[in-house]
Amino acid sequence: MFTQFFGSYLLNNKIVSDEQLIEALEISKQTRVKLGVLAINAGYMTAEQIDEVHDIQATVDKKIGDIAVDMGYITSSQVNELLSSQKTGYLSLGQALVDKGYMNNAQFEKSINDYKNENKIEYITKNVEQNEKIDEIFNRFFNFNPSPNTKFYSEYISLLFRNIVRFIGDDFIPLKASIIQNYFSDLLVTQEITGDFNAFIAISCTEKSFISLASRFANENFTKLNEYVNASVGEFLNLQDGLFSVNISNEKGIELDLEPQHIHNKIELNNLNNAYLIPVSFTFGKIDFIISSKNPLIN
Amino acid sequence: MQLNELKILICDDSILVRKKFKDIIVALGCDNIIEAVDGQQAIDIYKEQKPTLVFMDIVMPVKTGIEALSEIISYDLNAKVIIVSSIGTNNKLKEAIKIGAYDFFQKPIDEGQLKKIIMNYIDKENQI
Repeated sequence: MFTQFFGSYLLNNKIVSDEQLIEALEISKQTRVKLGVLAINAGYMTAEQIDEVHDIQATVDKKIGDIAVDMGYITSSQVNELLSSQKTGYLSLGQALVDKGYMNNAQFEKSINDYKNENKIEYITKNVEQNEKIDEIFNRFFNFNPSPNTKFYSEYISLLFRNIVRFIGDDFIPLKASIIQNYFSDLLVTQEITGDFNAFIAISCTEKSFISLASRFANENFTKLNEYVNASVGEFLNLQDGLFSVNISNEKGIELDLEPQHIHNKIELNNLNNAYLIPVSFTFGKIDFIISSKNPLIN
Repeated sequence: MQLNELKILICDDSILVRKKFKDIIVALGCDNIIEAVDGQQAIDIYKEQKPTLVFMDIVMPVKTGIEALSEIISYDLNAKVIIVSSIGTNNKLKEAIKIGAYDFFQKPIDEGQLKKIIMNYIDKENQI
């Protein structure tokens, strides 16, 4: 999940564009992380030193690592350590952006260091993906207004992102969330959570993204909008809300209930309350997730 | 009891879930399958057709799976209703078992799990 939030950071700080980021995300799975990005990430070399080594490599037939060692920028044991280290997703994303020329080494160096500082992360390993740092990153990213009505928003959204990774895929970037009162949608699935915590949840997107989302979840290749597509997105929401209820029951001892999901076409949601719009940019299109503490008026 | 002797009722408001279940069960060798889209339909079909095994969702329109379970059990104390729900909290599980559910599973369940549930049911029935 760190990869997606690092991507979002790059986007929000206007270091790369939405299109560049999605393109890099798509190719990052096949991208081999090279020594430069690894050394910058580990803090063993600066971007300037990497660029210098690259310039020299253009004139001599030697490996980057050997040149860097010869110049005294790095030791050979550090080179071996980096090349045999586990490659985490955000490094592949960084490398893909550098390879495409959307970001240079200096920009990668600055953004990864700033991001780590802001989130108080010293060294990122695969384990960071699972540990409590992710919760902190979530809280800082979404920063929900504390109120009794929104008390479980963080839990809900953090589970939502884990379920997106589990059931849809990890090729997405979370975009900046915003507070909304009204929302217009061409196509939307909704579900109500009731009990000691009330919430209205909606998933909205274009028909094309809706079909892609349904295909991913059902593991099918849907080509047009039909009842199976609607049922698939509906079931994804139902599963997310069900698992959320299970977690809240286990962790807080609060029992929640779910209403059956509904599909709507071309509608306007009005009077949303404590409502957040959480857009997520997938490689197949953008999906809006909405959480509100009260049922809206549906027109 | 053998697989092809089973008559299975799948009750879930999601056409996708019903199709996935059906495909798996048919591939297993049982093609006597009935579908219901809500709790009330499940009750009506149960009374008419007396399926050997029922897979029941909880969150559904008209009547929930818990309400349907309750009515089916009061009609037939020996009904074998397996709850398969996204909302598998301990309370829901306890409530369903107390009413008389045969078993309870948290969604999502995959092909392997569904096959195991059916085979375990057959094994148990054959031991009696």
